[in-house]
Amino acid sequence: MMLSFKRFFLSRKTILALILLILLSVVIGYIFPQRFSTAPSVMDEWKEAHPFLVPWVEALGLGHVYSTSWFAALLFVFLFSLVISTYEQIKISTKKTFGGLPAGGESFRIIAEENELISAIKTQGYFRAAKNEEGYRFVKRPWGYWGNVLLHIGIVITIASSLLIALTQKRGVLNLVEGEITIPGAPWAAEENGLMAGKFVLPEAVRLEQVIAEFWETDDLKQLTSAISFIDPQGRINKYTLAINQTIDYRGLRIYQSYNSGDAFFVKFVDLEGGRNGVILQIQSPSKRDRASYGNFHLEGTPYLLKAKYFADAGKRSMDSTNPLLVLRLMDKGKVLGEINLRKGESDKIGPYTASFLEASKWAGIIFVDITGMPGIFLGFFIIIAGSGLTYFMPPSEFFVRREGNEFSIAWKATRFESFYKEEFESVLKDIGKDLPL
Amino acid sequence: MNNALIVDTSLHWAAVIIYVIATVVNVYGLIFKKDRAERISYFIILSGLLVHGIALIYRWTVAGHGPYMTRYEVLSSNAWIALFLFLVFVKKFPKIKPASIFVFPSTFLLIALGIFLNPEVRKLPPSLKSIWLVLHVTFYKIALGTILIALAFSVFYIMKKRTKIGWLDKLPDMETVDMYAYRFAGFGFVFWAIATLAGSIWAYQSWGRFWAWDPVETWSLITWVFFGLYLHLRRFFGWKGEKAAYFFLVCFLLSLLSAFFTPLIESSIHSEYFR
Repeated sequence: MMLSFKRFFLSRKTILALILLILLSVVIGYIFPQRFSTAPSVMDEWKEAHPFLVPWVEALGLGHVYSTSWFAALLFVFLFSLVISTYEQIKISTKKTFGGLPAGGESFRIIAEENELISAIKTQGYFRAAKNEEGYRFVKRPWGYWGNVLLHIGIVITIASSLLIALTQKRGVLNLVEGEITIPGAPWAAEENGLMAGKFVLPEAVRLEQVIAEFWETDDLKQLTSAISFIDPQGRINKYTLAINQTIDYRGLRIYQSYNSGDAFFVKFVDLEGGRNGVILQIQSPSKRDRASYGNFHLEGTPYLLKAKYFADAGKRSMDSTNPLLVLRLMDKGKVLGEINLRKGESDKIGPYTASFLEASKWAGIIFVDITGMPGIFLGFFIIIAGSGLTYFMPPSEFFVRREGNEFSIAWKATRFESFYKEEFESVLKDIGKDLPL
Repeated sequence: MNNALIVDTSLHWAAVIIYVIATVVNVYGLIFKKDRAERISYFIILSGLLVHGIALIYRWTVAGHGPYMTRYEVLSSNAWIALFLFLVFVKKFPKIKPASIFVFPSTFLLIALGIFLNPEVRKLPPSLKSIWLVLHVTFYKIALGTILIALAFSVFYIMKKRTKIGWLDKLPDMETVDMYAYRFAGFGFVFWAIATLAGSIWAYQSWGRFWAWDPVETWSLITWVFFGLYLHLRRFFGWKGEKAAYFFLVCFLLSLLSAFFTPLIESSIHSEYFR
């Protein structure tokens, strides 16, 4: 029972099937939009366009393949199979490295001095791996026998760490406007938690103090920097500055500057009866000074859709948003009710409202991450590379020297790419004045 | 077009012309079995490599970042690294020399394609300022160079098996050709893994994710697994010869797809490059 269980998990067919199943999952994750990388509005559009697939997507978690229990189970089975395989590989490699003389094998006889023969073999970089009354076994690059073991150990560590991360990670994104405070427990703009992670709650309130966006002369983003403050329950403030590729660590969290940033427009709508509706329109920065950036918003408590776009500079002369131009279009079920252009401080009529552009501030995305297991991922990767390197760059080769009366029987083999290393064998024969047997 | 760009593209065109001459001489030498011509082609290609190297350094100085942002830079530096690697490997494994019939023309075709696409300079976004990115990109280029050599030997194997073209006699025997394809595929697999590792460290450093399952990452992983399958099938299932060569062609096409086409057809964190 135990043996057949082991045989099943060590079977090449099982391993290939598992690899193919994981590949299939990856392809599924590629075909179906994944919620951690897709905006909710895009997910909703996809669902509307594919209503017949929605029940399947929801039942099988195809919209979040990598955080489903079936994907975790698949990885776990693969991991289990790899652990058994690694154990077997260790046994095989130990035997190959320290084992005695092989039984049989293609060999030929020569007459030579024992010391001369051994010296010629050692000169070629061979180590004596075994010696007994029958003869010797020499190995060159014996560490090459451990390439597969390392490869397997590396994959085991990487997958185990990935599983740990998939189960326990917590990630949250806040898109904060300058001056805005978010308290612990407030909803995230985007959140991604592991299967066993629970809710992700900020340890303290956080406030975005300032956002500085720098641009190249080509209008490409040069750097994005945010100054943030953590405010503890006693009101003490801890100030930090982060930028793209410059993270900070705070109370066990790693905090990243997101690439997403732009301008937030404070617009007041007043209807004909004097009812007021204030909105903050957060729109991503435009890519060029002469190009607009767009955003769609639902006006709360109304059936209307507000389509907004803005240019960083009303004169289209720079990327600095000190004088932005905001363009608003009010839509009612596809019908345009009105369109206006506003600069800071301006008001105009749009549909049944008067819209006033009160103020503009910068906003930026801040990513909060609580992950355990990253060192395992990188260590595993390093070991995989070391293992593959040993396997493909350093295949071991072996000499077997067997005493047969006054003569010696010699056999040579390389574990891989034998024709590349045949010269080593020829050199040994040349050193002791022998030719290759015909 | 500004002056810097004129100098840059002129240097690249000069390299293309030298590479074309080297290719013609090399192909003549290989097909008509003229050893002298083949030898001369290596001197010519070396001078092309030098000019091409100067062009890349000049571009680096003008753009303010390494040649890994635009299609023009990526294709040009890929060509340089592939050729440089090939020349290094030729020194170590002289039997791979006939692969020049693939590698030499690939270099000038890649550069010319880059020039025709768009040689304009683009500035580096902040997320791409990392030493891990440089390692990530460099190892992918090295991986592509070794994969190109493995491709050449896989194709040589098929040609040797299926045709009686004379110059193929210059190649080693079928078993050795097959072995070279296997070995260089192994190198490609290792370098692809190193590139992926460097990329995951860079990603973690930049936005807190070591793996984001974005289209380029996904296809890169699929490609790597396919290379792993190729090696696995050869080692444990006894695949060799023509069957293995055809499987390698599939792996090669996948590597092209993941490195050059997915950044164009999909929106991803990798979209910043190769646009």
